[in-house]
Amino acid sequence: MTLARWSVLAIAILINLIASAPEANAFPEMVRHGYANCVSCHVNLGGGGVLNEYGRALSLEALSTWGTEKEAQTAYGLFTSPEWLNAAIETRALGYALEQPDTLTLSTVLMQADAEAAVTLGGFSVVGTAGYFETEGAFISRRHYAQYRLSDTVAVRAGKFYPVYGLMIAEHTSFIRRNNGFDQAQESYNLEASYVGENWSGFITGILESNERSLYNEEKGVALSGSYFFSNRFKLGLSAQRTSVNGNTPRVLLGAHAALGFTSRFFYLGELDWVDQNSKEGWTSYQRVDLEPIQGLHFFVTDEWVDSNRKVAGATHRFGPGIQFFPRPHIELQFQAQWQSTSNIPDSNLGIYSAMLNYYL
Amino acid sequence: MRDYLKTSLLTAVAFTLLQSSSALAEAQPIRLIPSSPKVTYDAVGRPSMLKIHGEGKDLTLQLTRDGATIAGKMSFNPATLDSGISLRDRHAREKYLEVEKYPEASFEMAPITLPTEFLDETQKETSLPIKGKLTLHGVTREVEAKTQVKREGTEVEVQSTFEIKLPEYQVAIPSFAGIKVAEDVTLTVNFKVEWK
Repeated sequence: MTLARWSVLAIAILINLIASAPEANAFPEMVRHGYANCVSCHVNLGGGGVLNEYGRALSLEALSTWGTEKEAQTAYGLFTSPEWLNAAIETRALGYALEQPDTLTLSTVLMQADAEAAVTLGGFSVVGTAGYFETEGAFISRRHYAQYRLSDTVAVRAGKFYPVYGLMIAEHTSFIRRNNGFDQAQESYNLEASYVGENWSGFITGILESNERSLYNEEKGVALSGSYFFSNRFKLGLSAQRTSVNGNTPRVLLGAHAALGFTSRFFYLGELDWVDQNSKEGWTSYQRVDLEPIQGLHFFVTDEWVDSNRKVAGATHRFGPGIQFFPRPHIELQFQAQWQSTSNIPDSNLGIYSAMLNYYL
Repeated sequence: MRDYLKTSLLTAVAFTLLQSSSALAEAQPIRLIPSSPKVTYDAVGRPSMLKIHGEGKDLTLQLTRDGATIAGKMSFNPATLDSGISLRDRHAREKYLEVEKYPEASFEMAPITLPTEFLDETQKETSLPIKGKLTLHGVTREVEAKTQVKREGTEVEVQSTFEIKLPEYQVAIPSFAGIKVAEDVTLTVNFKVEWK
């Protein structure tokens, strides 16, 4: 392998790592506690972002090892937030090591410092974020949208957000997010209608304008996602998305996903997507098995695979163990080791070791 | 003398037979298989359509069987209900079910007659509407439960489902952090008993 090729690979991995932590905490694994619908805890119907009052309380009750009610409240309960307002500040820092055959690179980066607020009056909510995006050295708004709940189950939403597709896991660098066009700060402008019931949920999203940061800029199209929740801890779903640029170069995603809470302390997340883009057919997958021996302390293994462009790049496999720890409400630490290899690049094994701190105020 | 002995013997035999038949007719207690009970509740929290599920195991039976007729009472300790979220359980116990004041929930069932097909095992499974008095939160109401009965060798598995409305039992509608529980709650009682 040439030095130039190694360098390209290393730069690609570094870029990957610099944005390698969850962007907006979404926890599909909460299905293990019977929480099938993201909107139980988040204002965002599709999950992630600012928590509602119940979500804050649940951070203490179901996620963290220790804590007090004050810690779960907005700004430690220093002021009483009115009922119509949910607000938060979220910061995220990452330290990592990248191990290649000849080098070891160490670095730290402040990844996110965002504020998000949601104003809710009756069934109507307006949500917006503002924060620093280090990749561009600029202030941006990742999400801003208005949503209206016509009833407890039916809602419409318009604005900038991710279309609902698949597991909606927070790890935006995972192959199922990044390679499928759902990377960090790539929310598109959409119009969405949704049904979220006790057992069934469904989203139809018209993608009106893609994000200029996206690899798939200028795409428009439609996304569909549906899921079924059963036996109080299991959720299965199907998703589809078709986008194109002015009717040309269609890109199609078809996927199945599962969130299976075998017990309240042992769960599995999995997603498998078929991708068809300009005759570059292939697959992306994500799997996580997680054991929580005491509340808030997780030991997990992830396995990811992509060959969405198999004719050109071959398949890339990434896997490894990690520890995720929520010592107090809204504080998350994550340590992970991953090993990655690409099938058509000899000696392409890489070690990726990261430590992440996420703090939600 | 001989006639006297004969009469006495016949009297004794008749008395014994009478006693035996009386004993046979006496209702026999139904024995619960200790590891089998599970009492669950299912409710929905709005507006997020949150499914709330809790389970408890502390069920006692005072059921009797007299031939094909079953009657008696089931009692449950509501303080043992566990939904997996401790704050929710604490609120349920202290604010809504008030378990210190009302430590027992019970169902006093009106006698039911099992179908012959079930007794002679031509039918392994049957469903029965069971009527009786359900006492919850200190309030007693006439209810009807859908009940499935399934025979498995020397055991019978029972599942009774009660659809209740919390206000009818003077239970305040649970509400927490913007989530309000719908007033309709499904209670399900599962257990197995020995069957001879």
